Amino acid sequence: MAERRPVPPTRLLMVDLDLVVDEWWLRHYIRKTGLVLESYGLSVTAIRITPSRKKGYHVRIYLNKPVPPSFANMLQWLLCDDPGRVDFGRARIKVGFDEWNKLFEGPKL
Amino acid sequence: MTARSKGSRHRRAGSSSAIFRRGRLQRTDDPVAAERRRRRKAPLRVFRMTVSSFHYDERRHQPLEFEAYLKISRRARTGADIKRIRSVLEQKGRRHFHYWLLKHLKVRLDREVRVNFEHEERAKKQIVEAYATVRRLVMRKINRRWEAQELPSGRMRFVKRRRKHGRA
Repeated sequence: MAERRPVPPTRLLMVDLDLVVDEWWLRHYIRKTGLVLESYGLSVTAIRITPSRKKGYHVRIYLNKPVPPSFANMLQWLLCDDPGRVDFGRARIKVGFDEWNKLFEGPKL
Repeated sequence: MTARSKGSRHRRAGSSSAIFRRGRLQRTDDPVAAERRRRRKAPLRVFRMTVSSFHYDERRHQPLEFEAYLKISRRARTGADIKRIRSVLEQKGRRHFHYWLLKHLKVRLDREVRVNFEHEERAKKQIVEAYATVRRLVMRKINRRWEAQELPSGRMRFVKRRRKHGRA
């Protein structure tokens, strides 16, 4: 049987928010994201919010240091990621799939 | 006279082809050649595609999801290039997914096959790939949680095979 390689740590969190909200709500989201990550001794270097294909937003959060994949998945869940996506991510990490964090997008034009 | 004129014509033709060979006429205003040059320099991007479909295992009474992750690096500059490569990859990926499941697991998919793409990133290695790498997982719902199981990985031909005989 092939040996399972450990999934490498990541500095990028990807969150799928399936709801269109007011802009000032998003400003609060960014502030609270910083506070949540600070409570774990992490800091945010950049946050990028883009509209998703169907509804809502895709949030990319760049951290100051890499974190283990299962911890990153938990942080994504805390930051209101799509629950189905979190569960699939957990299952992929468990079998050692290094590209576990999937976020689907349309072509950039 | 005729021989002389023929010879001069040959010399002229020969000299022009020699110039082409030496590459003196590289900077031409020919738009086709300019387009080709521009195309040659297009950046390499990694295309990541996920093909998935739900299935119900009658024997175990379990819902399953088959997933195939395809990855290939190809040259693409504009949004139109990306769209074109995506559509080719989708078409080939769907066919490959159906074929592989039927051949190896004897599963005939009766539900919709979903195809999704991730954001294209610049490739780290500057190599245009002819084959896409394919990794496969099957997700089973056990105790209200998804559990993954790895299936054999492989590759899928992306470019057309060159014909040795017959028409090109």
